[in-house]
Amino acid sequence: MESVALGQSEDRTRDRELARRCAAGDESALREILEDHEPRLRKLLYRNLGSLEDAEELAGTTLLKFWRSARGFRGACSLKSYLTRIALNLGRDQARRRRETVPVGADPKVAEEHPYLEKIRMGLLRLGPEDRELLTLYYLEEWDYGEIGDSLGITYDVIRTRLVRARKRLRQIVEEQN
Amino acid sequence: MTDEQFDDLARSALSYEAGLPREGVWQQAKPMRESWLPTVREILLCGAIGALALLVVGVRIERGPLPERKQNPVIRAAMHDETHSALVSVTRIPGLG
Repeated sequence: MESVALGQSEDRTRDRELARRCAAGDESALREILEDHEPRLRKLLYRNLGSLEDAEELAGTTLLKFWRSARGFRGACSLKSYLTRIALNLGRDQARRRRETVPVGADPKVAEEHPYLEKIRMGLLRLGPEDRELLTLYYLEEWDYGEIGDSLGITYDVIRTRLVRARKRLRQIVEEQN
Repeated sequence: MTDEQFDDLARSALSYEAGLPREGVWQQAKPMRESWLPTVREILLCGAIGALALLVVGVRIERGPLPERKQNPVIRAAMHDETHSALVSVTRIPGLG
């Protein structure tokens, strides 16, 4: 338990140092952040938006936005949660802009898999942004409630309630397709 | 299907191998700044050095001896060599206003 707390403390120190370097204009710090977080952000955005192009673009925008506001990062939450919050907000704006034409393409790599899985992916994109964000963090990132709370700014009890509701809605959508 | 079974299916449905960081993303995220433009730190440093140099020059001028003023020999003769307090003289010529 102590070693976990120690690891978290080291991570937070590193996060603050990276933010400080970004605020001072050190591009190599941003590069380090990209190496650490870009694939995860792209994956999260892809599952939230259903478009690889949008996911790639918004992952870049997330990092650029952090670069510009790095001075404001105080380390109250982890850099991972902080970046996730930026990415999800950007994803939500993008989804709102493209509401009429949400690109819902099948995942090309898994065309031969069980059809139920594709229905889950499609169903996720039909959920509202709150449910979708919560479920991607829970299923895709496999985060615990604390990390989800940090990123979405909600409490443990609210996460639990919303998670039950979001899962129920997703199941309904998937079963309607059967 | 139980919730746990559904959770397992959802996890495998959403799993996605994102691979390595994309260079395209870096090109987009990389701060765009012309290399010849000075950074804020460089501007502040140059400003501080310039201010210090001006301060040093100002102090040296202030402490140095006052330059000798050339005196008009005609005025000097008219004042019987008592020109130390006569700094300005105004001569009015009748008819010229």
